[in-house]
Amino acid sequence: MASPQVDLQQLIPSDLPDGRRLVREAKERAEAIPVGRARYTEIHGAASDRAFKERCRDDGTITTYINLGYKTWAETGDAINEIAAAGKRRGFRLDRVSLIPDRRMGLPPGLREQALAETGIMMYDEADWVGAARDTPVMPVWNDHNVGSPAAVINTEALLRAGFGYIGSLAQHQYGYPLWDDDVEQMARAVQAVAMIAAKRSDGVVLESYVEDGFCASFHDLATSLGWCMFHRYVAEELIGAAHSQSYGSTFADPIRKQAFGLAMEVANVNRVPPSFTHGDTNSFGVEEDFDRNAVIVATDVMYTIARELKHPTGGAVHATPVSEATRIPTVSELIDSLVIANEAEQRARACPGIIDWAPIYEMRDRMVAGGRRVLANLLSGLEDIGVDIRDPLALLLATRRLGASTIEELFNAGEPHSGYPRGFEPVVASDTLVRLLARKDEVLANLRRSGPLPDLRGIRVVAASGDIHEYGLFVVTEALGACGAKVVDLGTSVHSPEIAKVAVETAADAIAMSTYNGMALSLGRQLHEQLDARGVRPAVFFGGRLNEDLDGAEAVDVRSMLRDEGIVPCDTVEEMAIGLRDVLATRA
Amino acid sequence: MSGAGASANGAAGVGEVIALVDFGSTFTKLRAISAQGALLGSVQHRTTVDTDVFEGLEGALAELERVLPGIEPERMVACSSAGGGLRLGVVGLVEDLTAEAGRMAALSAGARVVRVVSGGLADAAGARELLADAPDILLLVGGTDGGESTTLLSSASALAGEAGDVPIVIAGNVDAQPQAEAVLAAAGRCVVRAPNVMPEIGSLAPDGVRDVIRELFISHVIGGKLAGAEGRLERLVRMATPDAVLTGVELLARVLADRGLPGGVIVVDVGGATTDVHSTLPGEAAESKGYKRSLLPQAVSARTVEADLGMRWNAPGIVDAAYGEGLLTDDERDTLVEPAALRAAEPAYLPDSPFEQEIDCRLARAAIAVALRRHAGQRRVTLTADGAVLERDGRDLTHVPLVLGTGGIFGRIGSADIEGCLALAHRGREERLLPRAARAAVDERYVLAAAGLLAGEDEHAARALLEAELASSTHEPARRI
Repeated sequence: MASPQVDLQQLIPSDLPDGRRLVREAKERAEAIPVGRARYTEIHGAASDRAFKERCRDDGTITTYINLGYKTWAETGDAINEIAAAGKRRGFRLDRVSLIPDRRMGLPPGLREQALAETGIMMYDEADWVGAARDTPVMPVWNDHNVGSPAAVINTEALLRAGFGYIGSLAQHQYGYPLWDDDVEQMARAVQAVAMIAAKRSDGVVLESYVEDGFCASFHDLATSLGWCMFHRYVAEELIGAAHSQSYGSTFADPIRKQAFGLAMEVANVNRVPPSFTHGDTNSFGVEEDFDRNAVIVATDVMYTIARELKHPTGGAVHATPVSEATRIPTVSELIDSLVIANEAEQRARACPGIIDWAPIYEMRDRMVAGGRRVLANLLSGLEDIGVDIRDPLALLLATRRLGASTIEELFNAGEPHSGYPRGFEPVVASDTLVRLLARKDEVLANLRRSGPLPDLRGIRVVAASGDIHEYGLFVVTEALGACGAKVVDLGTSVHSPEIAKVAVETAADAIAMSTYNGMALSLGRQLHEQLDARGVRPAVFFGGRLNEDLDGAEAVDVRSMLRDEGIVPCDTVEEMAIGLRDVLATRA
Repeated sequence: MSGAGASANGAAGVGEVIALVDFGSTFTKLRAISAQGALLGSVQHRTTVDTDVFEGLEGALAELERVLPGIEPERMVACSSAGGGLRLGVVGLVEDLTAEAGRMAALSAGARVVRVVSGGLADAAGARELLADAPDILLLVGGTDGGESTTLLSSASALAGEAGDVPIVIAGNVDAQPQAEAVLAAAGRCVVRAPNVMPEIGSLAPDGVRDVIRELFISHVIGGKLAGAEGRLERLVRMATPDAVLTGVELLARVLADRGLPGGVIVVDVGGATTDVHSTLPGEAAESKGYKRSLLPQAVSARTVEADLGMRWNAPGIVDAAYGEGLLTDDERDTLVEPAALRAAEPAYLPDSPFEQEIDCRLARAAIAVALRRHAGQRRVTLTADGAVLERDGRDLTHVPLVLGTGGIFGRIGSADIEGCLALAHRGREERLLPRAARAAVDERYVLAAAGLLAGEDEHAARALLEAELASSTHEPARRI
């Protein structure tokens, strides 16, 4: 792998604080923070959440998990108690709940009032935090809008004092927050929060990440995802000294990939920190509200996870996705149903331990592990070549945040170069994200064939480009148009309007197919027309993607009709674009 | 040459001898090479450009006989940079795309690009303006294959009535070439077709154009530069001298690759009128994963010509350029201003004191540092909300293991100086794709041009010549800059 030539000064400012010093100082300050005691641990006679999970791992107990977050702790606590009570009647036990916070919780308290209220829990005072740990028999988990956010230090202290045992989320270190644009300070606080958690390692406190909140959701190769998880473990455990739990699961539809990845994560989990949970599949639900179908998806998904946990115990809790998850925030009744499903799935898994052929799962696990190790090596040596200090956790988190997921995967993947894949390489093990993208491409072609043969685009010259870093829309477009016979000149991502116009001139393009997802579609359209006019060419222009823009104080205004006024054809689907191009060809004939 | 040469050479134990001739503007240089590639002798004589160039050649041969009695060349081939070199005008479409592709192809053919026109030639007035620069050859490019086709045709039409004797190479959209050729041929113009220099977006193909330009140089140009017996010159001259240098550089890269150093090579040629930089990069496409796609890639071999960095004709240009790049302090610049002006006023100036020799060395070092910076590409990082966009434009020299200096000044400055120039070029210029760990070497005897010329006759001997003369450059360990 050739080392990337990247300007270090762009990634790491020369006055970046010393991450190691930040860690030391944060640990010293954390000495004064007493660690609270959650009621759940008292009920189970365990020193900590982690200690209980280890016990469950060792004695084969399956623990359960849900997500929940109403606007206040009071409402949330009532719901949890209702679910716990239902458990007694219906034969299940709810072990842990991830409190889903309002995004504002990621801002320092002084800024929260100024930001837009969203959904999820807001914690207002100490009573809320302590209440979360003491008011119910269920273990609370705080995943979101904490460790990766500007509120990392202040929230983490509150969580430690209250008695939370698993505190997240390092995976969210690339999150952006309204009213906050200092990513250096945000990463400095992330490092300090992890250090505080590290200081309480002997009290059983664990740093948590839900990996698909971060870059893993966009990687095309599960080897990249695993390598990335190994990287975070290196930063959290080796450099800072925290125990690190990595949970995953919602983007996985294929059971072999899902369980293989869980096994691979456990290989990487060298300190055997029990993962918080394995999340249920949230991607396979269809758009129609067919809850009976969804129930089968959920049941099989959680059953395979339970089967793996029984065979290769980790102490991770299992999660059955509520059947309404794709449609709305689940009701308490639907959450109860999900736990009933999980409970029944456990019994079925226990009844037939030999029914699963683990060989293909182990084989895939091994490929992921080998690939993941290569990715980790590529990533660390690549960053070191750029000049990043790979022993400084702050430098590492900042540099990787700034590089972003697609650049990191393109630079450091473990696959072989292959132009037939969106990121130019063939994955070691394709992620479900990639599989869905490839399926979307096939779906487009299937839709186009539904009413006859594919639109005949032979002879039409199309310049295709993405105006931003996202390649997925562009990939589906170029593949679909190419299949229809168009001569597609694919310029790739982050292409500027002058470049598109120059190419349109040399290729005598009939049309331009533009993919844009960064919410500036109208400005982009106008710029593009200016550039084309300046060069005296006017191919037909088609736009797809996220066609909105912040206009006149309003956020994310739909600009499709304004694009039409500019003479640009906005397309909601790739199918629309293909048919539109066929009409262009007909006009020019 | 007499048949007695063979037996004389045999008696001297060297086998067949080849004479490699370089008809320069001032001097005709002759090198005698054995069939095994040994450099037997190097002589020169004033170029008799005003009478018959073969008089000067005979003078050089006589000089050879004087220093190497009994050695008679059985074969002779020549290159030339006389008469101002090969002047070439490019007419293309988009400035950054086909016009630039044409310009790079012309440079790689050893030409001096006197004008680049983008947007095509609209009319006869445009054609006349282009021809006023006295090009020896015109290169018409524009449109990818299957792409834009009207510009090639309109440029051809504009030239049809005006071009006179200037040969025209058509290397644009292959679909438009036949019609453009027909228009020019019907008007009695000399026209040759070549493969499109930019057949697709993201593709650069200069080799076909380079071959055609080389042939036209022999058939149509050299006779106008050098007076000589009809036909004799065309049989003797193989290419323009810069073309020979680049060919020599390409051969050197292959020699180095065979010796386990496959990263390509950079050659800096510091001359009286210009400083040229030639580089070759490994043949397989540079790893582009993670980087924004480039619209026009770099060719395997390339040449840049810095016309403001000549040691004599443009010595003040060196001072200005180096100072502008922050490579000279105010004091250093002040020391060089007058001597530079003196050299520009007197291009044949020879330094007559240690102080003046030191001035020449300083000028050379400054010229090398500036020329290397300009030859190297650059990288750029743009941070966006979704991640960093990495871009790389121009020539990626970061992994090239060897920088070679060629030209007379390298009798006085050596490889350590070149390494110093590289370090100077790097300073404060993180975004330049300069070599990170290159060693330096010198080609004092200017064998690169000779080897490039010889390669067309006998590649084996040419390789042997390079290996013998530049052996040291392949053995020293590289130092990280």
